[in-house]
Amino acid sequence: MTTLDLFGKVLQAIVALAAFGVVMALLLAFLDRDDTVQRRGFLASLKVGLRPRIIIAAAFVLLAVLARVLYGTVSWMTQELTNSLILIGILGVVGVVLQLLLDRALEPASPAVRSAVFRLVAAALIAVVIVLAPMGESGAIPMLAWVTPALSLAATIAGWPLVAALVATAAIAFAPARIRRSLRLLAWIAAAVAIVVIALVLEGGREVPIGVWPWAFAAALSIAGLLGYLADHDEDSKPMLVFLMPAALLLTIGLVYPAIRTAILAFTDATGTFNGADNFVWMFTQPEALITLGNTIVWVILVPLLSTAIGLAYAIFIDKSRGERFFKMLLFMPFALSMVGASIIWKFMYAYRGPEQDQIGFVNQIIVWLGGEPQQILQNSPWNTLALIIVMIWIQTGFAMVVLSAAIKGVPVEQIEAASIDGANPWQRFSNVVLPGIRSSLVVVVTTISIATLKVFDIVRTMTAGNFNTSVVANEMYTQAFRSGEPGRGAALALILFVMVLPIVVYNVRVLNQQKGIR
Amino acid sequence: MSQIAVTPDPEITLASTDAALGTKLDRVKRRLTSPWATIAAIVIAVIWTIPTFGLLLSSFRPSDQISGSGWWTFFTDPQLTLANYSEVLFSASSSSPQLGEYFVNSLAIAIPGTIFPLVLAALAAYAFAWIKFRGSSTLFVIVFALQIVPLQMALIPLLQLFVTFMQPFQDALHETLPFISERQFLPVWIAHTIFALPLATFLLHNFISEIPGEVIEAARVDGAGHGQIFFRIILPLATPAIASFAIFQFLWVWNDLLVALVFSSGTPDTAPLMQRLAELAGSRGENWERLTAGAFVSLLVPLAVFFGLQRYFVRGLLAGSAKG
Repeated sequence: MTTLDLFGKVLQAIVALAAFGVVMALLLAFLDRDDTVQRRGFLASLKVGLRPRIIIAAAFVLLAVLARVLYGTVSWMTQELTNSLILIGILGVVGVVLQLLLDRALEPASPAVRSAVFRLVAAALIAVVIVLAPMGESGAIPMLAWVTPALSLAATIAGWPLVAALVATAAIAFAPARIRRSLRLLAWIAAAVAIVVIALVLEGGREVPIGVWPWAFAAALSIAGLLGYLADHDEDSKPMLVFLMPAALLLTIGLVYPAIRTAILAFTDATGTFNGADNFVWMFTQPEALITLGNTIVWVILVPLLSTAIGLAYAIFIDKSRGERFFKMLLFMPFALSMVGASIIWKFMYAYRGPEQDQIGFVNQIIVWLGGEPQQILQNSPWNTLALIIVMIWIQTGFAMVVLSAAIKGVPVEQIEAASIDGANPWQRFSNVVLPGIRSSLVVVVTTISIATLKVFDIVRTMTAGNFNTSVVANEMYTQAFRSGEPGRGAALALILFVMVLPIVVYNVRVLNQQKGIR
Repeated sequence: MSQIAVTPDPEITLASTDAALGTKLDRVKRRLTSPWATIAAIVIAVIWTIPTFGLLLSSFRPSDQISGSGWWTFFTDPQLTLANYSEVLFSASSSSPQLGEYFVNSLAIAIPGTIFPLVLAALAAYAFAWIKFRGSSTLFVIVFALQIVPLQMALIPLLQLFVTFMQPFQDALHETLPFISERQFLPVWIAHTIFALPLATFLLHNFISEIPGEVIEAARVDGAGHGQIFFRIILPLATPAIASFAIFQFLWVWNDLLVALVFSSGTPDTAPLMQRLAELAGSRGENWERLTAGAFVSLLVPLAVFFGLQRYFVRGLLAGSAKG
């Protein structure tokens, strides 16, 4: 690793964090604009909010100056880059000044006019992007030579509906409040539909498929429109747009759309054509796939059961004993470690040497001490699955122990006391008083560990890579989708995972809600 | 260890540290079980500690000894060395794991990967808790329900989106600044941010909504806007909850393998420690002098977090035990 590489990495992190911070600060500052400034003429009003703008403009100037100074000093500051940075600096300063003038000029105007003007400006900016993108693609502008055909196409497909929606909503700003919200929602949804329709129409005459991202864009636009609809209800609701929009858009594009897309993908083959339930037939008929499913079931039965049982027993054994905290730490530590780390730790435990050699794996050494033959623990099916399960139990027991121990401490001491006065022996005290008291925590622990077990991937991947009949659904999903080039099968496995997790999560949510209701 | 407490120490639990309760516990210091239980507990504790201990001890043994004899022979033939660590971390030879570089990657992924989702989730949680709007509770339930989606379901389409829309920008950046690789951290950050959002929003909402309404009302009367309320009141008051979740998220990102495998390049440019380790364990499964030291390098940060910030960690864990 050279110093320059390191610099590049650190720079990425710092620039990203700084940019994120600036955007967030600007958003929130925008919320707190003081709208009640006394107007003493246009020139006086220019002074309001001048300082942050001067800082931003100064940052742009600094960027340009820095580029000029570094040019010729460091090798990577090429002439092209210097020119681009100076251009960005100039454009930035111009932008800040224009924004200030626009803002002040609009000050006396009604909210409707202001909203309309801002929408039109946004539409104009997008239009510029739409025009520039194909020019960049064709190489007319050297600075934009990196624009790929896909990007340029996306700008056209998504850009025009966006411009249309912005212009339409700008016009709607003058409509009576009664119908304004609904009309705007309609405009956004129409734009979303338009994107999908345009994409489908263009798809017809193309050799390279457009892909399915228009659906993601359409979903994001609809969500944005819906949030706007909800926020426009009254003045008090409006700020929620700023707070919710980033999370809502990310979740729509990154989680909702992909989940739906994967569900559809599960019914296609490697080339992306619809093949009915073939993937599921494969899953439930092929011996390897069946072993995968069977292993997952063994995992999800053994891990939650044993981890919870051992964790609970341990929590009770050490309850109120000397050095309780230290004992807890010992058992809990594996939980903080990564599953990859844990896998290596256990791979070392299971390490195999021939019978004539000294063993280096502790487990095999014990077998030898007991007079047995050393075993290839990770390769002998079906016991190797058990060996992997032990790793997961080793990790999860600490979690179960900590949560259950907290729950046990929550059982009223008086109840236990009363039971022992009544002559209950320790086991009766446990099963009749403590166990009912920690029931909800037990449910949370078992369901949480079950979900974690269903998704287990790292352990199998690191220890056997799914060979020797040890694969589980999550690992097979990765192998099929990213190694064997069978995204359809991968998606089908992910869908199965979803179906298996679903009841557990729903149950967990219901229990949590009940607890909330009691509190 | 000096942390062994004479009296029962509820530090690691959620049990109230209330003094009155403490004395009551002492008074009725009645065990549920017998001395046999203590012996069983010690046996479990020993079994649970041996694997980690064995690896730690091995990582300090000379490499010929690691592959030649078990770590328990150390007690009859004690020899220690730091050579394995300097080999895996700093050696420039192409056959060495060069973990130093991957360590930097892991940090570069985990720090923004913790901050981004926390800030966005805190914003969303504030909106759900303190801005009244129609459909607020429905939207909140939807965000919470998104935890149902296993992240495996989001991997393929999200990767396709990244390749189509972000790779050109990344290539362009690499073109202009050659020392920044065309494989960057941005996709990994975004992926981690998205996958953390539902749970983070839910947990922070639980906490933020319990901040007394009078405080926020008073600020509003004094003319504070939502931005000021968020920065000046919500963030400081919610710091304990945010810290707990931050630790949790940091460890989650640091320990993650799946997201890294899919969204990072697998090259020294962006791949985190875990990916490299998994690779080593697969390809050089018998090269124990490197694996043992390498594994402990990766465990260093989680262990430091675990021992240093245990109280926050446990709190985050108890609150976050619903992560789906």
